Formats: sequence, C-alpha cells, structure tokens
Amino acid sequence: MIKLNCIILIAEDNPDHAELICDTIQDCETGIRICVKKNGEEALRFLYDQHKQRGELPDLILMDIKMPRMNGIETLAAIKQDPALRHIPIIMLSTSTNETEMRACLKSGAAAYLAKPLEAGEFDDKIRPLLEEPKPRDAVAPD
Amino acid sequence: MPLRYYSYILGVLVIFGVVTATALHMSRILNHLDQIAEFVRESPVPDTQRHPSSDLEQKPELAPLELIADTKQAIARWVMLSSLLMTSVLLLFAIPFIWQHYKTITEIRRTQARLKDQALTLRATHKTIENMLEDIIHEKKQASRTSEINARLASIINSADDAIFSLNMAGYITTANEAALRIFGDHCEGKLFLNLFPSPVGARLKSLLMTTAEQNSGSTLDITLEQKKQRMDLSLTISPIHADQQQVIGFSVIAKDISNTKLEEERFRLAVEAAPNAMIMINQHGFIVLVNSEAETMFGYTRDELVSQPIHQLVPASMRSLHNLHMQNYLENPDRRNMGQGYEDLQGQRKNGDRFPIEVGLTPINIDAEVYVISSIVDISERIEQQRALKSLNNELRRKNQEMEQFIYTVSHDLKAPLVTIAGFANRLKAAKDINFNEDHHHKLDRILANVRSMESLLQDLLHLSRVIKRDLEKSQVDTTTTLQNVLDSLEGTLRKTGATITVVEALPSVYAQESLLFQCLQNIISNALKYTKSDVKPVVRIGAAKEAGYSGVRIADNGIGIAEQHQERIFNVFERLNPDVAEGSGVGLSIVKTIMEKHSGKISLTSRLGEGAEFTLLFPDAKRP
Repeated sequence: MIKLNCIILIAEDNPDHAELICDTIQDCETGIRICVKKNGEEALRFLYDQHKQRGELPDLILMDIKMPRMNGIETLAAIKQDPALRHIPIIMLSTSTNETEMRACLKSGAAAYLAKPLEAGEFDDKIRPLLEEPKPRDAVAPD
Repeated sequence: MPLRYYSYILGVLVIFGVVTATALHMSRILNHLDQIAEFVRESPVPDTQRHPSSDLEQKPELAPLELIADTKQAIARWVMLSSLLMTSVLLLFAIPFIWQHYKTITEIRRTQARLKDQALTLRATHKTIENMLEDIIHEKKQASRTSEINARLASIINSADDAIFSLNMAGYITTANEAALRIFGDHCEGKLFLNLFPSPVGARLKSLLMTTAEQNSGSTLDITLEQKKQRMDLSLTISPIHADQQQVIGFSVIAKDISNTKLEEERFRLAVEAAPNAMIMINQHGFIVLVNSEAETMFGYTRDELVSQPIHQLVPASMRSLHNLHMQNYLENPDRRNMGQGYEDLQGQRKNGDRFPIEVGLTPINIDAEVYVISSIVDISERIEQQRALKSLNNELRRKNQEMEQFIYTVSHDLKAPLVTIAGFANRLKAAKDINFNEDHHHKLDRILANVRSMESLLQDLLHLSRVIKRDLEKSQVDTTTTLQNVLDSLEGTLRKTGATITVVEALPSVYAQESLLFQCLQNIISNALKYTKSDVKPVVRIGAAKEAGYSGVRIADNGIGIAEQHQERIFNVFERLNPDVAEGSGVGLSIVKTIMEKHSGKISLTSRLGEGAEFTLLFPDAKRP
C-alpha cells in the first residue's frame, strides 16, 4: 500500500504528455494528488513556496528533461543542492532514450530515468516502491 | 847541381879512398909486425929479457921486439896525424859545400813563399773569372727566356679573339694584332685610330683617350659598329702604356667583340619581359637593374623611374628598414627561395601609395663575379581574397553542419513528442473499457500504433546518426571476435527466426576503434544480411579478416539479394532504401555505418552483383606507434 495523501509533482511542458501521465497514474492508483507545472522554473518556485509556507512537499517528482526556460537536468541539480528538498525522489522522463542523458541524470541524483509515455508496468516497477517508503520528511527536522 | 859539388864530392871520395888504402896497407904492416914479433918471441933471446929497461937508450942495440913496437908506435902516430889532417881537409872541403847548400835552401824557401803568393792571386783571379762566366751564362739564359716570352706574348696577342692595338701618343696605330686586322681591315696599321670609327664614336673616343692620358688610368666604352652590313657590339678597353715609372708613351686598346654577350643579354631581357609575373632584378647593393613591363604595370612606375632606384622604393615605408635588413642577410647567403618564409603578409607599394599583398620568389644569379637577385613578384590580392572567401565559406559550412546536427537532434526529439502523445492516446482508447469498439476500429487503432512505432524507429535511427556525428571518438584496441559475439548475441532472436548460418572463416584481427561503434557497424551490416534475403534461401553470412597496409578490419559476405552496381553508391545515403518491399527499415543503417567509418578515417567498400549476395569490407586504420 502506498502512503495516504500522496502528492506527485509533474514538471512537463507538453500538456498532452502531462495528461497521459496523469491518466496512467490515476489508472494505476487512486487517491494520489497530482500537481502539474509547465517547466522547471515553475516547479522549483512551487517547491520553495511550499517549503517556506511549511506546506506539504510532494512525495515524488516526475520531470521531463526537455522543457523551456529551465530544463529537467538543471532543475534536478537545483533540487539536489537544496538541503530541504534533496530527499524528494525524482524520476526523469524523456522522449528519446539516450544513454548519455540517462547516465547524467542518475549521476545527478535521479531515482530513475524513463522513456515517455509512462506505462502502467513502469508505474508499478519504479514509482510504487518509492511511494511506499516511509517518508524521510519526518527525519529531517525543519528549522 | 853544379859541377862544383860533384868535384867536391869526388875529391872527398878520392881522399877517402886513399886513406882507406893507406889504412889497409898500414894494418897489413902492423899485422906483419905482430907476426915478426911472434917469431922473435919464440927464438930464445935471453938478453932482451934480462935487460929490458936499458934497451931503449941504446938504439942500435935495440932488440927486435922493441924495434917492432917502436915501428908500430910510429905508424900509429902517423895514422893518427894523417887522420887528423884528413879530417881537417875534409872539413875545409865541406865548408863551401855547406855554405852553398845553405844558400840554396834559403833561395828555395824564398821562391816557395813567392810561389804561394802567386797561387793565391791566381786563385782569386780564377774565382772572378768563374763569376763572370756564370753571369754571362745567366744573362744569356735570361735573354733567351725573355725572347721566348716575347714570342709567346706576341703569339698570344696575335691569336687573341679580341682586337688589340697599341697607339702612340698622337693616337696613331703602331701595332695591331691579327684580330684587329680582321675586324678593321688589313691596312689599319699607321692610321689614326679614331678614323676607324664613325665620327660620333670617334669624338667620344678622342675625349676618352685624352682623359686616359690625363688621369693615367684605363677606361671602357661599349660601342656598336656596322661592319659589312653586320651589326657588331664592341667593348673597348683603353689603358695607358708607361715608359718607366709614370710617363705615358702611348695607349693600348683592346676591342672585345661582345655581340654574343649582347645577344644573350637581349634574349635574357626578352625572357624576363615575356614572363607572366612581374620580374625585377637588383644588384648586390639593392638597386634595380632590370624590370619587365609586368612590374611596371604592377607598381605603376615607368621603367626609367625604376631602374637605378633602390628596391625598397617598392616596399611600404614602414617596412623599409626591416626589408633592408632582410635583404642584406639574404645577399650574404643567397639561395633560391621565397621571400619572407614563414612571414605571411608581404606587401608591395604602388606609385600612388596603394599597398597590395605579394608573393616574391628570389633567385640569385652570378654575372661576372657579381651577385644579382631576380625577384619574381605575384600580386596575391585575388588569391588572398579567394582564400578569405574559402575560409569564410568553410566556417559557414561548419556552422551549417553544426546547425544541421542540432536541427536533426531537435527535430527528431520534437517529432517524437507528438508520437508519444499519439501512441499514448491511441493506447488509452484501445484500453478504454467504456467504449464499444468493433473489429475495424481496433484494426485502425493498431495501424495508428504500428505507424507510430515505425516513425519512432526512424527517428531513433536519425537520433543515433546525429549522435555518431556529434560525439568524439574513444578509440582503443578492440578484439573483433568478442564484439562480433556480442552482436550475434544481440541478434539471437532474428538469427533463430531466419535460420541463418554465421561462419567465421578465419581468425579476426583486433582493430583500433570505438568498441560501441564497431558493434553498431557489425550489427547493422549483419542485420541487413538477415533482412534482405532471397525468399527461398536461408541466409548464410561468412565473416573473415581484411588487411591492408596500415589498416585492419573485417569483411562480411552474405548470400542475399545483392545490390546492382549502379545503386552501390546510393545505399550509403540517409533514408535510401532500395527494397522497401523486402524488409522494414528506416534507410539509415548503412548511412550510420558509413559515418562511423568516416569518423574513424577508415574505409568501407562493397562488392556485389544483383542476385549474388554482397560483401562489405570495413577497414580501420591501425594505431600509430609512438
């Protein structure tokens, strides 16, 4: 069983792809709240705002690599540099499967690298285990 | 010896003989007396023995023995006296003899001394005579040598090709050699030298003779003559003839026929003139001695404005000192080379001050022990302009190429995004449980998905190609056998499905390449071999080693449908598909192989005939040994 009140943040500039990802997630698991941001910058701002207002942080981030303004790789690096955010698992999504890109993502701290579209099998294999983990948020004492 | 001496000696000998005879007779007498005395002693005469002392006083009564003794005594006394006398006489005889002898010896000595003196004098005289003789011989030899030298000189002068005259102070010809007679006619001796030439030349010669006499130094004049309707160029060298130290008593004139030299000069000038480049000849002091019309046109000066001017006039003012330095260096050790090696922008300056880029070839030549340098100058403005254009074109091409790569990458990426959407929504529709689709709808959705897959694979290949182009090589020594095994493993499913036979016919060499790209090449070629097969024949792929000087690789032969010769070039092009009906594909596979081989500076070749299979040969350059 996955945690109650799970939040997944999706950073994706293509609304069709965002819709497809949402559909797949909701097909696989009900009761997950999903938040969609159109690029890395927006996603990052959302995360900072949540943290500042002591709001809820997402349990998982699904991030497209090729996005305008701030791409997935840059956003990944920024999140992993922030002590308050770095615990959130991030799964990178790409339209093209590229080994170099994949190595770069995993090196930067991504939990997984998946090719779009997200498929139900992949949700079960890669995403579900991440949501079942006990939340490390409790272990990190907010100042 | 005078007779006197003989008579003296004879006299002495006679006396000596008489004395000897007397002595002999005396000794006989004495002997006889001794015998008598013996007789007497034997006969008994007692008286004598009784009265020996009284016998002497009574002479008549003397006994025989006393008598004999007395006789002997008398004889002895006589002998003694006569000997004394004899000796005295002999001494008397000897005195004049000795005197005479003394005188003779003295005379001899004196004569000897005189003779010695005379001998010395004689010897000195002899020496003097000998010296004189030697001098005479030497002089004689010298004289013969001088006459020989004179004869030789005369023959040299006569056999010389140059006309040689000697003139007196008045300018009349005193002697002329054969060449002079040949050139100027047989009757020139005794004529006025100036009259041999037409009047304008004569006037110049006259002043030249005068200056020669005044300055007491030689001079040269080049003239042109019309002899028997033939042009003749002569170089006249006039030198003063000295009597002793300084006084000038005449002139020597050497007229050298320089028609041939002039002709050569003319040819040389014409050759320089005809050269397509600007040609400028300078002497070793850096002054221009010859230019052609190209040079006139190039620099905008007339010939007269250039000749005798320093060459640096044609160099921009800012470069002149440097140019002079370089020129001096060059003249110290001239060789055939380009000016300013390793120095790109050589510039020339026109009369109007315009500068233009040039290329200058330098060739040193030696004429009469003097160094000249011929510069061949090319205006390379156009070339530089072309190079610049080419460079910018090249840069543009590179930029376009980069743009193209970026374009391919972006396009294939962006094209893929809608495909993802299409496939995603199609899949969702297909899986939707709340819509009633019939068979036909399902078929249409399947077709949509199949097309998306085909499009995806095409885009994947295109992306792959762009990555091969973009990425840098990481080469190492790769074991081809291992890579081939990995390829075969990756194609296992297809191999099983087609029932193909793969044979490695010999040991494969290791190649110097990027392993993943070698893998790609082998995979693409072998999978093509499995795809493009004859309908009823199971594929057979034979893999062997390929070797060439400096290259190693593999050759892969199949028994497939083959490629017609006219299409063999095209199959390496992107999206080129000869047989889209036979198998599915994007038409990028061989293009990737070709790109990979190009990136490795390797070679790819194809031998094939339609219907007879194909053989691809991949050759990678061997690693360079350090």
